[in-house]
Amino acid sequence: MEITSILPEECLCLIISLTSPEDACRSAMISHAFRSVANRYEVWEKFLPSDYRSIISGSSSSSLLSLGKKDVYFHLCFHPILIQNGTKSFQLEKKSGKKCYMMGARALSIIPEGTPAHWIWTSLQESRFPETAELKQVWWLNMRGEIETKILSSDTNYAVYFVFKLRKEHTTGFTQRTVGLHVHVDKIGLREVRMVSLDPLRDEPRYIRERGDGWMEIEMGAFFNNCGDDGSVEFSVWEAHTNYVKRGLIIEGIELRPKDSAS
Amino acid sequence: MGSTSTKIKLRTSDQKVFEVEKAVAVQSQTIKYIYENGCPDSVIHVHSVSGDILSKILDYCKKHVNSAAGKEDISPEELYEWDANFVKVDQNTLFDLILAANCLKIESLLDLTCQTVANMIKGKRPEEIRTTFNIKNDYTIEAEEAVRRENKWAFDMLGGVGTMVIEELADDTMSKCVTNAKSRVCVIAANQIVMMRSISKLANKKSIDVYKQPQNPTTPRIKESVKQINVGTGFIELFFHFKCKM
Repeated sequence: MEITSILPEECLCLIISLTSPEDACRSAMISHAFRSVANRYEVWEKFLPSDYRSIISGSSSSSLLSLGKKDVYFHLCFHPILIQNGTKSFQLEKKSGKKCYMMGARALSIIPEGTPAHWIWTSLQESRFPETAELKQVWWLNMRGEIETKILSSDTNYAVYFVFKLRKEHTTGFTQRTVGLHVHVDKIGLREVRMVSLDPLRDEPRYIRERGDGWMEIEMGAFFNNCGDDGSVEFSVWEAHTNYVKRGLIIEGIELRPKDSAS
Repeated sequence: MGSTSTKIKLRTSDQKVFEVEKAVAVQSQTIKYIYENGCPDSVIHVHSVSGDILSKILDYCKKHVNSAAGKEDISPEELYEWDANFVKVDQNTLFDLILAANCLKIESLLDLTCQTVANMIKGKRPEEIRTTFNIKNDYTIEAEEAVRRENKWAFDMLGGVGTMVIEELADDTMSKCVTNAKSRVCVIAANQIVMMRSISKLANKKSIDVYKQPQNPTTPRIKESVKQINVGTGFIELFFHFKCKM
């Protein structure tokens, strides 16, 4: 008599749901009985965030709800879905099932607004959003956004990333100069500022990473989300100290995801 | 009525009778329901639980009720420690506790006992889990390979898990195998000729160690130099100690 013949399937489901998504996939290899448990919707329902149904039904991929729970989980891990009229995206971090959000350029406040001489809206194939913001020419760089901690996964270390790229030609103002990346969580007194170059020279320290989806990213800051009752997280990219002109920055958005996970 | 010293009588499957405080007994949603919907003085039968297990469960319930009511001076950390010690039992007792907690509907105990089993599974390879729980591998090699493929895309789960039949691999895949490193691979060759061909291809690379898995899976693996491997008939598992991404 071994465990799968002693314990009822509901207990085995509970046990597997208390491991991790990776362990659940691996457990399918133990025996036929375990495979049956590992594929049960009760297991994957526990790995999905509790509000996944309302998030998906409010997205442009509401048909996902007709899939089995395990398929929903992995779909959300590998394919970000668009929410809030295509201005933000949502996905899950594979190992933990924690929520990741990216605020597209349309969800950010980019100043000066509505002035095509400074910023234009373009549609790029490599973007997940219908529109990205492309910088034509500014002297002062100022974009900001915010997100409520209550929609994030609780008990998680989050990092904020600025996702962008620089045009190959006609780009100026970013080499040998820094911009300020700010992350601010008022309620817990967190205020992080990092001065970094978005176009570092070869011998300069390189904090910019290639994401693998055609964009670059740089970490802006990090914070710990406890129960999600810390109000909102504000973030901004800001450079207004100097009067040199900047051109060529293309903004995909600002992403929040659990720290120490590669995108 | 409703006095804190109300007692409830419980009779187990082996005819032992326990008299417990109501506050302790109703930690079980099942007992609570039976008590509230039946005759308050009669004995409640807990058919599927033995005296030994019920005794342990009542210890648990009492500890938690007393700590919550402040009757016992115990910090959350100490209670956590107590719980951890509570589940330090042999597997059969642990399973009995799970069954009883499930049937008596004691949620916190069910979570505690199931988490204990979950911790024995987390991070372990399937063959290790089979050993822990004495589970028979009822997969054929092909079926095991199919299940691994089913999940591989999710987590890149090549390492040390399952087998790949080497005769399926084309030559260029084999060399790709060796140059791209990711996780450990176990190779089963269907016959001697295929095996020797494969080994000789791979053995040219210095970074490979070849281990031979003895028939008895509990015996540790023996490291072999490739030239000395004596390939018998039938299946032999060789764990290639290199990293390969397929």
